[in-house]
Amino acid sequence: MRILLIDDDKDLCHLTKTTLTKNGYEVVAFHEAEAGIKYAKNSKPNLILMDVMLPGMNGAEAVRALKTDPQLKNVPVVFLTALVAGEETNLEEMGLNVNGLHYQTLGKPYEIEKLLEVVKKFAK
Amino acid sequence: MEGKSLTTKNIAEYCQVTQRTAVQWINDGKLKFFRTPGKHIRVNRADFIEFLKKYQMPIPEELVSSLNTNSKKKVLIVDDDKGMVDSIQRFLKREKVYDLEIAYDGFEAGQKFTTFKPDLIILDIKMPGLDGYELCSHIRKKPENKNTKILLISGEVNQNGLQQIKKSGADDYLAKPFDNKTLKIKIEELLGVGKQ
Repeated sequence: MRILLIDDDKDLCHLTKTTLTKNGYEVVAFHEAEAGIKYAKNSKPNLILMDVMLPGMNGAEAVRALKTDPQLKNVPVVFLTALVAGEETNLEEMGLNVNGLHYQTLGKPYEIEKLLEVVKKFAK
Repeated sequence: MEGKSLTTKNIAEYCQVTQRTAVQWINDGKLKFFRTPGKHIRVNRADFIEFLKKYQMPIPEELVSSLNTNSKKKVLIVDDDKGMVDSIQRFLKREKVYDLEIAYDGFEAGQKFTTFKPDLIILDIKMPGLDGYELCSHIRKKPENKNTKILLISGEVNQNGLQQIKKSGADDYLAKPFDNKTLKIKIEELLGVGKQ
């Protein structure tokens, strides 16, 4: 299973990539949306883990761009985020809406078990 | 909460206002803040005290005394064995010269490392997920972390393990089980503190 990880937090990105790789997943990581989109269009990942607050194009804009590609419109996306309009709680329950579609979120800082649980869910 | 930064919820409680008001102070630029790697809003205690002084609000005694602990050396204890973490934490608390943080796996430790910025990590080697070697490598890949001391701890280490410890970038190693006196000597050596 190939996972595309886009997060500008280099430390968290490295920790997440190392952990997922150790658990048998192929992970390609980028720190900005544009490079991640380019990769996705060429390599068609099975799952996208997308930070919301990114420099330049943000996570929601990136997902809108990805979903215009027929090859990528069914690829599941999980948003990684800590903050929505000053709120810091219940992000997992809230999820995120982009173009009327509801996406699962993983609230930062996330626990290793939670990360693996979410990824495993989409690996099935 | 000793020695840590404050959330908007903490600030709201101290000032007896709603969390929304605390966020508004931040948005208005009245209260300095920073974001954690996870992009949470946090406020340094010193900045919060400055804010309270400026706007002539009472400063809770607890805040002032906690600020005095900032000169303490910061130690991050990492082990998936909760009994081991408790035991080290209890001992170091009694020493009263350390600001402590704990983590039960390498991934959690990696995230806490970024915000807590410890002077020393006491790090178990064998852990599920990210192990001690991998966390060592994660920390050492950034030059700005070079001053953080890493003390690896582990039960069984063979010749290969000793080689790996040397390569890992850790500063020292302690075999389990160890007594408090040995731990104290190692920590004081690594941090360059203690009574001679």
